[in-house]
Amino acid sequence: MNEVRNILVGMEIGETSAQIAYYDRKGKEPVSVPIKVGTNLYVFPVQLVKMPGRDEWHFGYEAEYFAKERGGIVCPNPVGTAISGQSVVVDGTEMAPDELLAIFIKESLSLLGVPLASTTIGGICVTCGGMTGNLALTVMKALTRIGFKKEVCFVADLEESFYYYCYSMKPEIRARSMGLIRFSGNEASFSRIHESKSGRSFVVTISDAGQCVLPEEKEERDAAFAEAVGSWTNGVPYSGIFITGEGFGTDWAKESVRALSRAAAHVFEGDNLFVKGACWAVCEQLERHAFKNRVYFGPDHIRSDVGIDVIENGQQQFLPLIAAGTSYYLCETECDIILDGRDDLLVTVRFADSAAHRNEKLMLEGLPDRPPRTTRLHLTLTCPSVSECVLTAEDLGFGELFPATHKTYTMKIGLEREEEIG
Amino acid sequence: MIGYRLSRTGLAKNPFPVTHIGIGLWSVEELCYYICTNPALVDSTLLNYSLTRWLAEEFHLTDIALAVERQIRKDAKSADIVLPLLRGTGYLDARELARFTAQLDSMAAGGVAMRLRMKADALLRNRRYGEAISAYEQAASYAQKYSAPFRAALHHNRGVALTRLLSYEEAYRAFREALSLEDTKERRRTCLLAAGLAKPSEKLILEAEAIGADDEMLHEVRSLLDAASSVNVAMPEDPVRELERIRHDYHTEAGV
Repeated sequence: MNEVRNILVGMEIGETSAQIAYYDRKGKEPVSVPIKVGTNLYVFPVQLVKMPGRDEWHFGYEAEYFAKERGGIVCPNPVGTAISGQSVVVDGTEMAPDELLAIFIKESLSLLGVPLASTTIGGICVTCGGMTGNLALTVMKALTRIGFKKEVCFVADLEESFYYYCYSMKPEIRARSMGLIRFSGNEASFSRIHESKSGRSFVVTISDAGQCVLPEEKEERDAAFAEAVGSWTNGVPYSGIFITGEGFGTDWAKESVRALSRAAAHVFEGDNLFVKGACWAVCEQLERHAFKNRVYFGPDHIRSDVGIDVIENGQQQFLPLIAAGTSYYLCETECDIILDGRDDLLVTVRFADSAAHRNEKLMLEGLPDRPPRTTRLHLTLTCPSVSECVLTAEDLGFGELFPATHKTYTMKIGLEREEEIG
Repeated sequence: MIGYRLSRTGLAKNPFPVTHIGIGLWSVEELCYYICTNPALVDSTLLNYSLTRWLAEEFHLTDIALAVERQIRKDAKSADIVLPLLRGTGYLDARELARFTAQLDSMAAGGVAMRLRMKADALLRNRRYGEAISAYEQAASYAQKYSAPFRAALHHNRGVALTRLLSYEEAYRAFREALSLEDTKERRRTCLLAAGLAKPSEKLILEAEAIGADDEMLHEVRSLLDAASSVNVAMPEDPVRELERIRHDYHTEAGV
């Protein structure tokens, strides 16, 4: 790797294996990091070992060696621990799930060969299958524990990483429909990307569109898979189909390859599309912003913008408190506003999939009567679910000029369309 | 109406002390509000390099701090020093900014006595009575060529400050001074009230005769004084603490 400063990193973590990719902007696309230079080995086991009595850790294949040969203590699986949310004891010390995961991630990032990971990495996205709110929050905590600022850390499930991967490809690859085939031994599943213009945005979703169980025998397997491809794609032209996972092989997939070629203009096979998608996610969120009005909606994504109209530097603008396309469990916003002649808080919910919006008003009853521009309100907004957010406003007064009451006002805001205005 | 202004700069870790009114400012918005509502108190005790350092260190408003510093270095007038701050923070819109700078220019163009009076009035509004009294006295010393009503107002306001500091006898003399310069019904009434506070009650009739107050005014003032003396104030839960607070507030307001 030539670039040692400010690279963007993607990391795919599963319960059994992990891999890392980075993007240094000089290249055309992210590059997978081999666990040993000069090899094609990119995937390493999710294993962590601690040397007894010392702050010395080893991960991946190296962990196996230190456990067997050097008396290293095998730690509980860091990802499994993060999923369970339970603290564990390692070498007599209790460790929180984010603490253990942080060590695993930090040790893994040493594969990049950069001296101080948190200062030489401009942004990082961790992608996992089966992402939940708890897991996402644990990953974010682990990343900030390593030293990354919250603003440059991202978490995505595999589907979202796939979205970033697809839409970072050349235009001809995404000219028409795109699909993803995931193999897991004898099982294969098919997901399809949908894009529709709706309101202000192009909304992208990924839905499951079929699955099958394949026989072991090669010819039967080939025939079964070819038939499955035909029924999944069902005459719809695809510009790109991506295949990933263990179980696909060119040694048996003869008819299948022909079926894939009939179904799609481009077919790709590889095991690093999610980790590269994670890299693209960081690049898009922090720097490129090329997706513009395109927004991905997964099952946990908020489908509305929620914000208020404010004056900033003399200009009126819409201040989004939460943005459509954010996972609800990662939605937490805080800001301060100064009231200027109002005794209420007017919040607007803008639906990403239509031009409609809805206003919600929070009355600030009991607020002391102060001159205009002398009341500071601290606003906090969180989302307990994908369909609701909670806004809290706290009166902070105006310093020593007008003391704070610290009175708080709370309002629940539904994020789903009920009535349309405009 | 939008009605909300975004505060990107938040609160300072360390406040900026405002010596004139004895408080600390914790945000850029508070600073701007203080400047806009107390233009007479905007002087070198506020507009100095400590302020620019505070802006740069607490809020990272380096550009604004440098622009203000440039004006301070040039020994510019107050309007020119505060302009980059008010404009850069967007606290005032263009029209409000034009109005405010015109107000500052007009103050600067006014005479010394006028500026001192405005400063004294601002100190009075902010309960800095001791400093207000000094400023009124200074203003009076420059005001010989000003109109009688203007000079009367200086003495009257000085009397108000003295009343707040419970110096009733001195307050009474200040109100008499105001009355001698401008004899109005309102000034007579004020003198009579002050006399009621400063002198024994049996002397009130003599006072009313001396200043030319009629029976109706005397009766009104007597009623007010009686009502004030019959107000029952509940004993605080912690009298010692309350007394300490009163004493502290008094010393602050007196500028001691």
